[in-house]
Amino acid sequence: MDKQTYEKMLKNSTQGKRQKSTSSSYLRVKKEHFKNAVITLCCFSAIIGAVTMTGINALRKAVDEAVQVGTSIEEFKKEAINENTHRTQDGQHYWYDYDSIGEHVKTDEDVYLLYRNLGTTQTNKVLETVDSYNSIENFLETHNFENTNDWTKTANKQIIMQNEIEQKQQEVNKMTEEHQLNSAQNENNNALGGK
Amino acid sequence: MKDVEIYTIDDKEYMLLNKITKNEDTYLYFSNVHEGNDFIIRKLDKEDNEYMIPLNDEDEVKKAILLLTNKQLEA
Repeated sequence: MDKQTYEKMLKNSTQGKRQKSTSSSYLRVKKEHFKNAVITLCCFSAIIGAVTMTGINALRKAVDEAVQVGTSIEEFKKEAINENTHRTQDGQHYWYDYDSIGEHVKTDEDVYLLYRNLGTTQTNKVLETVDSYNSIENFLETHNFENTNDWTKTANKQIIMQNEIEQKQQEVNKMTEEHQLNSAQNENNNALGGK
Repeated sequence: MKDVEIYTIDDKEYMLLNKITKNEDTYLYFSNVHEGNDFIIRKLDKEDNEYMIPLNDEDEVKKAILLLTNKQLEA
């Protein structure tokens, strides 16, 4: 992120022509690629003086975490909710298939992601179909959360921590694979060396 | 992996990063799919939401960036 990139974005954004606001296609990109793009754009806040340069690392971290949580919420929506949301016969409204959505609710994190997508009322209707959970009010009480804000803070931290664990695990797996590959190559080399 | 919407703007492919509506203005934030340092912000035309137009000036660009930053921090 630098002044030159900001200037280019400024020029791009204030010039050009009116055009249709519809997407031409879809693409599957790496989460990191998407996240870094959002972070870079948000970090322009430092260049325009809304955030001090010394605060930029804190901002970067906060946005990084927010994007991680946002991505998890979005993924849950895609996997559990979208396919189970249907139009009413008159085509004017939507209805949720609570039972089918409930089948995706297996962990505390799922309850949180459900709540972030549907809000309290609809989440409670889904939870009525799930044996291990009852309602948001009951969930907060049994988990000793004072309110939904308290729950949100803790749940966000858990998602971020879980992502970090998965990332570390991937790094370990990659190192292990490399180590095994190197060992196999060394054995081959030794065998070819003959002694 | 993540599925993103692709828009062609000025013959270049951009992925949609976010869409925010505030006080009747809707901003769309894009990043070039192939160039990491190429960004663009557009807004929906109030007279016809099927179209998007450039922002008025730097002040509006700053406002749009702050909107995005605040939204991310509130998530």
